[in-house]
Amino acid sequence: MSLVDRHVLIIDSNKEQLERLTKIISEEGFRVSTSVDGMQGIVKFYQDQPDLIVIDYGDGVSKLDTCQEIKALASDIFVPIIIVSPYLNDQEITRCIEAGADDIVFRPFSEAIFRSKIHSMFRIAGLYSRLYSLTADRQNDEELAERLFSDVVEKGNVAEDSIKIFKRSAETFSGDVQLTALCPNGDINVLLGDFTGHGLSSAIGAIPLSDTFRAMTDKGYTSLEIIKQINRKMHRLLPTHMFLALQMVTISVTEGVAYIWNAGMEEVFVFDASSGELKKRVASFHPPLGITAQLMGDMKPELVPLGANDRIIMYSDGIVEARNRAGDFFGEQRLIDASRLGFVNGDVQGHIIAALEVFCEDLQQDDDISLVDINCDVKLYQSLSITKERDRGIPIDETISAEDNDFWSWQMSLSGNKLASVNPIPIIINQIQEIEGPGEHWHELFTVLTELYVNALDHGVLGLSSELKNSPEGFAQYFVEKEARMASVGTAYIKIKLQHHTTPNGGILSIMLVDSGSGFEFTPWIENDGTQSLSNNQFSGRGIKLVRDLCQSLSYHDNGSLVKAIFRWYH
Amino acid sequence: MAIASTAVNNNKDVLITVSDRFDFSQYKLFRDSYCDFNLAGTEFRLDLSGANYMDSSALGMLLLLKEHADKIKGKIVIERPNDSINKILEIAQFHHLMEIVR
Repeated sequence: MSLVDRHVLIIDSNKEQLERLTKIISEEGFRVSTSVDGMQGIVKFYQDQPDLIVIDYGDGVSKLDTCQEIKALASDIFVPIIIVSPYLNDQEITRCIEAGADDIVFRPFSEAIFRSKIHSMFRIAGLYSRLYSLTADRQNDEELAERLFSDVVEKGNVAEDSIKIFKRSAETFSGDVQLTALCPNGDINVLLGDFTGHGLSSAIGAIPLSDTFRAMTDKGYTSLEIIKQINRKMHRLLPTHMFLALQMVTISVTEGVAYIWNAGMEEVFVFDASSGELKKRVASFHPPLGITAQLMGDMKPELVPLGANDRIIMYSDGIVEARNRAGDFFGEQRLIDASRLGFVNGDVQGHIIAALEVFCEDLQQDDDISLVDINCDVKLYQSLSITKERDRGIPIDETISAEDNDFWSWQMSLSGNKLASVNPIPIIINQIQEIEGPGEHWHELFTVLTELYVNALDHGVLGLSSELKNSPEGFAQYFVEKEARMASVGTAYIKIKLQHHTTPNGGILSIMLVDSGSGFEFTPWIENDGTQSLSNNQFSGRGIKLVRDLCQSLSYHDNGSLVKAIFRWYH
Repeated sequence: MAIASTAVNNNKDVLITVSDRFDFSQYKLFRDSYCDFNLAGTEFRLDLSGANYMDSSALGMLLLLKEHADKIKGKIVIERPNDSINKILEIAQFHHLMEIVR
């Protein structure tokens, strides 16, 4: 605001005094409006919106209601009030200040002093208005950051009935992110991230994080591959002193296990909700992401077999570090106790939040509070991936001739170390989507290809026995063994060949996988009666049953080292 | 003063002591405590025994110190964190990134 725009309102019942004050102030270059009584003064305050007010209490300050009322009307905008009056005692001065006066000038006064008081008041008002607009800017920024998080980043979360997310942002926005997404094979990825710092700066990584997480989950990359990529992105994007602490859980619907990652966050809890037993705590085993260019070499997720009653609780440090008046932390134990109560009464979040509120009373917290409660009953998630009933009536001849022009084929061979380092399935799905366009049906194809490939690799090339997978302990051992054998695959190979024919309402994809292994026991799986449901604890054999359900036909040849499958899809 | 640094051995051993709270409010003081020591191979020892609180922005500040030390082929050692600070360092798994001596 320039000097000439400044506007002073003078309220003075004595006409002579009013004229004198008006003259002094006008000479300073300010616009002036005047009023001879308090009531009219308040009306002018409304109409003219002055930047400073001079009230002359010529007869003393017995009534200060005009001053009080104007201050109340101005609310959080600072409009200084200078009172002019005969000499006042200490008590009267105090009353004036309490009524909202910002300065007092005693009569008789020198014009020079009066002028400098007006200028000094405008200087203070200038600081106020600058502070006001900065605060408003900051508030806008934080609202923008919050909106970014809720609208752009967290929109698109899935399975909200089974994965309950609670979030309460602190007054200063501090960058917790909660994401869920569905993998092509029906598995679910859940991510809880916490960026360093507060305010808008903590939000810069949120969009690339959610984009990477969603796109890679969608294409069927493993959690390791997703985390590697997120780390690369954050390392490039974030300045040295900023990073992303992260928990990620993959609920594998087909395997009945959870893969749990923890990079720099509080422990992830796995409870058996029926007994309240805390079955597993997964502590941080890697520094937060974005610090080093690559992940620590031996990073592996924690593998936890899941029962139908299991619940996984993920949370950010805002909960355990919430303080009460005595300065104590809410802490882990209170969180565990409240969770157990919640399992009994059916509302885990409600109990934890209630316990937190009782503990903190009305004390304001300075960090975000995030809580994710995952129901681990895999049956809840199956309906998400298998969305439609398949037409199973028409038998398809495997040797369809390539008479139509819409034919394509594609193949890929992997051998030696590439078997360990490359996951061909996302590449294949990408190829198919490039050619045939995206669609829900590829989720099922993803499952088929993954199962066939994993069988070829694990049983064909590596010669692992699936017997091992019949117990939770064996399951873990299976993966240790797999890694060991993977290190010495030598010249082993897997070849994948696809042929696609277009039909009027979709297409037929023949899939062929050949591996260098000497074959494996495939008969029991194929002959396992499809109507007989597999028990919850049986970790193996589900894969092939699923492939058979999803495909038009499935056959093993050459003692199991060659498998052919026909997958039919519809628009 | 919450952060002080002393250098011996011709400025090649720098001891930085942090007391009270180690958080973002110390950002400038902390930076000033090491940024003028640029001799190749300088060892920065950060004594945290007087600090009773550390937040994630302080972890970020450790990374800045490490970056500075790496640039001049020096090293950093974190010394004597109290229990609560050690827990923060443990959750962040910082022992993978720098030497921490209890």
